[in-house]
Amino acid sequence: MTTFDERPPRFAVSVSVVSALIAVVLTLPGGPMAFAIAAVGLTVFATGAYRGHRVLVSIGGLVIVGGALVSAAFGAPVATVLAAMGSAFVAWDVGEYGIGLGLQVGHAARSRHAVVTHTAGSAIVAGVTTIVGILVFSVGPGGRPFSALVFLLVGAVALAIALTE
Amino acid sequence: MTVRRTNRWRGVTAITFLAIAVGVLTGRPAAVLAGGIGVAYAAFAARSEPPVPTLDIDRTVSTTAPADGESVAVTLTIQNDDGFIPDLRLVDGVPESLDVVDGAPRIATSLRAGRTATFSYTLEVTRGSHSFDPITALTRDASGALERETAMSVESTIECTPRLQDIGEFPLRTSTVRRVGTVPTNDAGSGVEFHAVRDYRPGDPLSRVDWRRLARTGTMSTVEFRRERAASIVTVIDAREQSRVSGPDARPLIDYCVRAAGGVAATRLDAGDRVGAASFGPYWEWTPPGLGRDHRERLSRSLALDDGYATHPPDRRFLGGLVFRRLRKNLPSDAQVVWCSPLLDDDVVRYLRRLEATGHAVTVISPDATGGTTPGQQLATIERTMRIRRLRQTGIRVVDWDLTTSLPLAIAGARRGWRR
Repeated sequence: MTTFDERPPRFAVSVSVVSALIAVVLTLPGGPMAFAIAAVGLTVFATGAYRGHRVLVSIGGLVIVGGALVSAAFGAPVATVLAAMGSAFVAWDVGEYGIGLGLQVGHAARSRHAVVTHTAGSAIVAGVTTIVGILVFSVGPGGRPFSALVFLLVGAVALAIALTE
Repeated sequence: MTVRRTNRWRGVTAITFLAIAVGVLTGRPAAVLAGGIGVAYAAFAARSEPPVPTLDIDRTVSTTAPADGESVAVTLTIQNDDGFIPDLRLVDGVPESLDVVDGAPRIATSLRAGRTATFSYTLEVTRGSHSFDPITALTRDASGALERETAMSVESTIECTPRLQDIGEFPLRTSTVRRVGTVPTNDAGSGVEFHAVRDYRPGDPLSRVDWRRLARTGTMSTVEFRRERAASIVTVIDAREQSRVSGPDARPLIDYCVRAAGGVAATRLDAGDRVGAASFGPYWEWTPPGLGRDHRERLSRSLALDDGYATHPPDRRFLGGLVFRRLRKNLPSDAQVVWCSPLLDDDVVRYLRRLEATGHAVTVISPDATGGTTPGQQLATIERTMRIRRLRQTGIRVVDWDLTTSLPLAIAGARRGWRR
């Protein structure tokens, strides 16, 4: 067969980079350090997404997540922290998805529909969780002990680990 | 059908723990809640169930009888006969012998129940029979944690049978068979070329009386013409490994050999001779000399589609002695041989000289793939030239075909050195 272009399809790259950019912008309320970290993460992420390097995409995504957490540490509102986290996850999901597509189906093949469906699914998961998180926060502390929240989450994580096995 | 893990969500729970740690250390509930997103994705991935594809796939090729070098468009239509498939990737089984020149034979899509997706791409067709391999279908669920690979078979074959192309004149050598035809012999008989005049015998046809002589000298005489006989020709294509060397346009030399054989067949069949074909290689092919439109069709199809003349490298051993004996056994005793070979080894010279010695007049058409500046290439050129000279010394005619010119031109050039 003729040459096979393994680069990720352009549409997937664009969607993932835009999503990462949104995440970076959403770290601003957390101060300049959070933003700087997230911005570095964005550069690494975008390079990896465009070139088709899974490792760079994962590292970049992780650094953006780090930026979101730093913004939380510096007192950013819950809504922006959760939205930033959600966007970072969507960015990583679609970015890695695009790289997988490039390897299996190639740059030249039609893939837009698949990317759209996948992005929608990912965005729903991130979006619903963000909204639930915001609701929990607004309804929650004030009176509730903070540690209860932590234990709830640890329990949920343990369940999640059990489910993935 | 195989199901495998993509492991793309590995590490998501680690991120969740990291978020919780940051939240606890800094006393910010927002960070802890951010960990909840990781939990959500982990749960999302845990419910992974890649669908079993039930697809109705249809493949259409734009032309049913493409010409050599023509581009055809292949279109695939996929209908989802079962439930929603969020992530469907298809890779078409393009035949290895064909190149994709436009588009891509792959697609990634998501198909709701009952919906259809199509994609198409362009192939460049070459001589031969090309069958499609099974299609690979990869399905995933929305999270992409597991992937299912299925092979789906949609049979299609593209057959390219180039027409035998007339190459103008191709003079044969002077050994013949007993049918009337176009090869002049040194016998007297009926024909069109003047041979001799003899005394008139009662019973000679009046159309052959030399009336001019009668008018001049008053004696009755009969003109005799050279008896023309039909020839029986077998074109032999050298299909050994040496013929897989590439010519100027990246096509293997066997293609040129087949083209030359087809051209000789077309020309000589038109002239009324009987023509057959044989493959001298790992795959034995034999078409005995014959006449007529049906035979021409059969010859054309055989040269285009049979394994013995195919361009793909052979995966069988070649046993020269056995094949040569088989060829000798099948050759009609009065048949001429037109041997098409690049002459890149010495064995072929031995075979040809033996054929010539056992009474089969041999003419060789040899596409020239040598030429080049490296010492190895120059040596190859010299060796080939010497082989041609050795063949000519035994009376074998050789058409040294420079591939930058056409075959008719090469034949015309070679003819100048041929005697009757």
